[in-house]
Amino acid sequence: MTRQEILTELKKVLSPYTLEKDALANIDESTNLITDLKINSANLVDIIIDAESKYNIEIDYDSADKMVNVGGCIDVIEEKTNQQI
Amino acid sequence: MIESAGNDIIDLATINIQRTTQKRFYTKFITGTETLLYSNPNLANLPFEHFVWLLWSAKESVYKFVQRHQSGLVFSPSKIIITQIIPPASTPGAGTVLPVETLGFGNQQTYNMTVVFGADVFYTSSIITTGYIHTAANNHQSFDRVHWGVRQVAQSDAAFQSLQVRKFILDKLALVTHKNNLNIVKNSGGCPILFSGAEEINQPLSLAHHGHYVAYVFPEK
Repeated sequence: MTRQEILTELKKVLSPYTLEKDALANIDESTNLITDLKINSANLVDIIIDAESKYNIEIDYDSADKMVNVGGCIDVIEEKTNQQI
Repeated sequence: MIESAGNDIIDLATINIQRTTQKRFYTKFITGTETLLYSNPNLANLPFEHFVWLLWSAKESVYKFVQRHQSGLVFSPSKIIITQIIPPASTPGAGTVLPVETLGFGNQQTYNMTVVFGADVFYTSSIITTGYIHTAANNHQSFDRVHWGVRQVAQSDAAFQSLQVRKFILDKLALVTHKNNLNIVKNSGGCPILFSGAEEINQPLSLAHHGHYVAYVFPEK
């Protein structure tokens, strides 16, 4: 998967947790989940669990810490899916 | 000793109990040592899902408290460790009628926690009602000089919550600080800063919102 393909799929993971649909449609790697998409921090673990299910990966503590913006999420998903190959 | 503020609120009507109690979920931010705290017989009346969100709210409160002075700090809940939970002497009731605003926790039935983050020790005090969990953080054990408030809001979208929590705390700050034209601006690190007109006021404060609840804390100057 390319980073762009991951980003496209990531929008579907984030969608249930944001009402900022315009911001979601226009996300890029610098988009912050909390300040830009107004996702409540209490949903950050939901997003990690949903990403694990979607990509059949396991995201550990240290990796989860990187998932504060879209670029960080893509880094983690890319790294973990590559480990499966 | 640094002066700061940190708080968090969880709307218990919005949590997914089934998901919360799955090991796969809570182990993302609760360490094995922390999980053992739940075996304390004094917590027997605390549902496990409340325990999970109690710890989350303590970790987030401490993060906000520290982040005011370390703007680039990333929230890493697994690195903010709860080492002790002291439950209230009796099982809390349904909670005070909202809105509630007061100084210190007085006779409130609180869960008091000791929290270690890096080389520093923090303390949190939490109220758990049937509707919400509200937690305040401090760097010493007394919360006697911490103003706090919780209220319900009609809508749960972030924009409405944000407006409501600002109005809630600004009304209180106007009474406490005796300053005019108060407003809150978030700095580049996302930390709320108090202004009176164009003048920045040295008054730490913390805002929180989740679901149909908003909350604030700030230290008495």
